[in-house]
Formats: sequence, structure tokens, C-alpha cells
Amino acid sequence: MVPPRKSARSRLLRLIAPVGLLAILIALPLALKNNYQLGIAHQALIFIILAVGYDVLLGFTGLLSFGHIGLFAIGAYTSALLVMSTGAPFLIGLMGAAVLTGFVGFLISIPALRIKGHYLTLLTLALGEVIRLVLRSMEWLTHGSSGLSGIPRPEILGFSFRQALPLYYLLLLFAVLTVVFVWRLKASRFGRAFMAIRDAEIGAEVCGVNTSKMKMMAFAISAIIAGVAGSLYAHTMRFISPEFFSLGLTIILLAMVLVGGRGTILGPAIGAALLIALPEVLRFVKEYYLLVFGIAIWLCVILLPDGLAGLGRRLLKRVGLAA
Amino acid sequence: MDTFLQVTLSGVTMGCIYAFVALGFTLTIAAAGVVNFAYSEWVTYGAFIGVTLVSVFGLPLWLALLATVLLCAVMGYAFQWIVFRPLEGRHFLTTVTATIGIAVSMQALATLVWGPYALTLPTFFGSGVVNVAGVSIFPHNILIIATAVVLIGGLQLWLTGTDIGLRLQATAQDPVAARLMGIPIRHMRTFAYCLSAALAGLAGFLVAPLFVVTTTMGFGLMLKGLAATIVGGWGSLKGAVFGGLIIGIIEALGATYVSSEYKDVLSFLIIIIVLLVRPRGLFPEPIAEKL
Repeated sequence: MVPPRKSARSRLLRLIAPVGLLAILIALPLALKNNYQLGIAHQALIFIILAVGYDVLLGFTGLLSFGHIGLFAIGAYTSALLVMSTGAPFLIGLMGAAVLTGFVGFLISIPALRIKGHYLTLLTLALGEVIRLVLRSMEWLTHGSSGLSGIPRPEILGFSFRQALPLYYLLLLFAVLTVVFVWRLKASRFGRAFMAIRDAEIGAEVCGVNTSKMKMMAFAISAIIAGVAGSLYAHTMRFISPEFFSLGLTIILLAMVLVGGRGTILGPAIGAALLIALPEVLRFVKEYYLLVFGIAIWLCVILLPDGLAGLGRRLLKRVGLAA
Repeated sequence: MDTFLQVTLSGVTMGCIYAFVALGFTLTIAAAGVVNFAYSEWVTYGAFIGVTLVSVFGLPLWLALLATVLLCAVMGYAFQWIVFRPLEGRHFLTTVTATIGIAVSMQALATLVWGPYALTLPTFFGSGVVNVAGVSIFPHNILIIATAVVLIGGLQLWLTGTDIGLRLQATAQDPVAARLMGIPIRHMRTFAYCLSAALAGLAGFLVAPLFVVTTTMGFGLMLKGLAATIVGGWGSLKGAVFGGLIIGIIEALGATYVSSEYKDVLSFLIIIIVLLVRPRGLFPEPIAEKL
């Protein structure tokens, strides 16, 4: 996968691209006209966090989980309930969400170690549905299908993020932290072990990778990130209900990672931003949107097996050859 | 005791529907290695086509049922060329995502064509109820169970007793070896797709009078069918039938005696338990699948 020798140009590109992207993201609120568009940007940032975390499991380790949205939901509910019922500060809610989802992710990984392939996918699908149905049925705690409303916006050390603009920068900070963390993770010993499991599990085991431990870690890390994203979602949207965290959202999340290009960090981030923004851009096709969306996913999977990131890489290579 | 019989009867009815769905879902997995998540929409289309034929074209129910099954088989044939051929032999992830994309589009199309409102389909025998020994029986339930017995029994005989059935089994077990033995596996797969779609149409048409016809009806059924597939054993036709019945009965009993609120949780809990205790299902295929 890694090219044997990086030219100075590509190294420069590697440095410039993230910085340029960050600059664009920092300046983005200037281009957004109203709070509604900022709201879309909020959602895009949250889903960037979620998709990049999901990619640790799907793209790095090659484990297809259909229960990830369940973890996202647990994160959202934990944080919202902690803050609303005990009056705890936002950061405590966030940490509580991260700890609990991390723990649940760790629990899920124990049975998941015993089974592989589509059995794992179906097991996680069942677990995700159970989480959603239980959230819906526990009326006394979660208000059932009517959901939780009036969740306060984040407040850190007395500084309130109630306004849309400060909130945007808070979410951007979290998104950047997540991307940097996952990027460092990929380059680390653990990241290499994850990818070894994905490419050749038996081979990895023979080479001394503790595959069980590494899979558990991949589950836990991506669960913690999902928990953080869930907490941010709850406090940004200020309303959560079990119906939102359905299997349909899992599919959208999967599409974000696959359309962007799994295992590429930047790919899932772009995929997430794209899939959140797309319905807004495609306003004019109205009811045909889902029709187009479904066919687009199908075509993407068949024609772009490496996603947009793979396409970008191929184009760059062509330009490099021509120059 | 009466309640028990009553509940078991409705459980068996739903079990038969789940068995149809699971059977059709398993067929394409067994014959072509394609996990078809658009199956939910095939079931939905079956119901919608049935409603259209009955209420718009005024066809009698029996004819509408036959026409629906036939139209669905044609749909399966068309799908093979457009959707499934490029997916055969591809990674599980690719197939799942691509067919999910197709499912999203099909659902959107159904909403555009038939509107977002629920439609209803009449039953063959009206809405009357027959009382037998204190158990009130809805004749439609008996029809579903009878169809299931005839169809699944016939399918079993056909698969194990006839030449073409054996060829289909051979294709399922090892496509390469089957081709070397001179079996036209392309035709076998075509046949499996058509049969799978026909079963979806049948399930959709038969289940429609029990509930209402909506664009999302197939999805819940497919999840239950999926549960049946797992409980029975991935890729096993026998497992699909028994898995469907088990899920249907446990669900009905659980809803009555445990908690109706957690009814849907129950079938997922069954999946989780079966996967943990017997990951290959209750009736595993003797020939191990390759992944």
C-alpha cells in the first residue's frame, strides 16, 4: 500500500492538503449565510467524528459492524441524561458517554471475537436493534419514543456554546482532535496491527499480533469515539429520539465510509460531509432524492471500490506521471 | 389452554411467512453467494403489486396472486442482469452495501408510485372468524399455513428428488465443481433468483391482509427472515424453514406471556443467543461455506 519512496512533491502535498483543508473549515462560517446552514455544518462535523471512528473498525481492522449507531445512541442518551437529571457539566456528560460506550464496545467485542464475517455483522445488527428498542421501551428513563428534548447546549468552564458560531468551532476542535488521533493511531504499532488483521488475520497471528486483544481495542476505540460523537450530537441538536438511531442511519454511516474510501481517514471525513450536505444541495430533485441516493451508493460501490479517496489518489498519480 | 392454542396458531402463521422470506433470502446466498438486502423491497413490491392488481385492475384474488408471483419472478430475472451479475463473487461488504443502495432506491420508488399512505388487501375468505373448539380461527391463517406446507414440502421433494433440483444443490455447494460436471450454473443461478423473487412476492401478498401495505413493511419482515436464517443456519434451506417457524412461535408466545412491549427485542435476543451458543445455527449446512 505504502509507496516505496515518497517524492518531495508528494510529501509537500501531504503537508499542504490538511493545512489547507483546516483553513477552509475555519473560514467556512464566513460563507454560510444563516443559522440553518451552520446547523448543517454542525451535523457534518459530528458525522465526520462518527465516520472516522467507525473507520477504525471497518477500514483499519476490516470488521463490519451494523451496531455502531447503537453506540452513538448510548453516547447521546448517557450524556443528555447525565446533564439533564443531575445537572452535571457538559464535559462530565461527554466523559460519561465516552466511558460507557467504550465499556459497551468492549462488551460487544467479547462475543464478537468468537465469530467472523457476516455472522459478526448480523450479531452487531441484532445488538444495535436491541439497543434502540430498549431505549424506546424504557419509558421511565428515556421518555420512550417521544424522545428527550430541551437538552442544554454545551458549556465549558462557564463559557457557553449556545450560539451557533462558537458551537461550530467547538465541534471543529473535536473533529480535528479525532482526525489527528486516528491519524496517529494508524501510524502506530496498534494501527499496523489492525491493518494486519484486516489483510491477513492468520498471517498477523503468526507474526505475533495478539489478534483478540487488538480486535477488542479496535472495538473499544471506535466505540469511545462514537460515544463522544453521540454526546456532541445530543447537545447540538438538543433533541434525541430512538427513531433517529435506526438501521437506516447505520446504512448512511456505512455509505459515508465506503463512498469516502475506507481506511483512509480523510476519505470517511469527506464522505460524511458529502452525505450530510448532499440532501441540501439536491433540494431541487426533492422526492427523487432517495432514488438518486440509493443508485449512487450502488454505483459507487461497484465503480469505485476504493471510494473517493482512491479516485483522488489515482487522479493524483496520473497528474504526477504526466508532469 | 385456549389462549395458548390461539397464540400458537398466530405464531405458526407468522412463522410460515418468516419461513418464506428466509427461504427466498437463503436461495440467492446458497446458489450465487449473493446476500440480497434488497429482498425487503421485493416483499414490499409483492404486496403493492397485489394491491394494484386487485383494486386498480379488478383482478380476482386468485388470479392476482398468480400474477403477482409471476411478475415478481420477472423482476428477479431483470435484477439478475442489472444488479447481481456484477456482484457475484465480490466481497460480502460490497454485496451488502450495493444491495442496500438498491433497497433505498426501490423504497423511494415505491413511495413515488404508490404514495406514502397505507393500503389494504382483502382476504380470500372475508374477515369472518371460524370457531373450532373455543379457538377462533381466521381462515386466512389456515391458507398461509397450507400454502407453506404444500410449497415447502414440494420444494423439498423437488430439490432432493429431481434432476434439476439436484443440479441446483450442486451449484450451491460448489459452483466450480458443478460447472466442471457440466451443470450450466448460469441457468441455475437465474432460476434461483427468479424463485427467490417469486417467494418474496408470495410472502408479500399473503402477509398483506394481516397488516396494512406500506413501503416499510418488507424491512421488518426481512429482519425476521434474517433472524430465521441465522437461527436455522446460514445458507441452509431446511434451517430457513425451521428458523422461521421458531422465530414466529417464540415471538407470539413471548408477546403474550412475557411482554408485548419487548416483542421485537425477543427475536433479536434469540439471534444473539444462537450466534453465541451455536454460531453455525441449529441446522448447519454439512458442507462448510467459504468466506
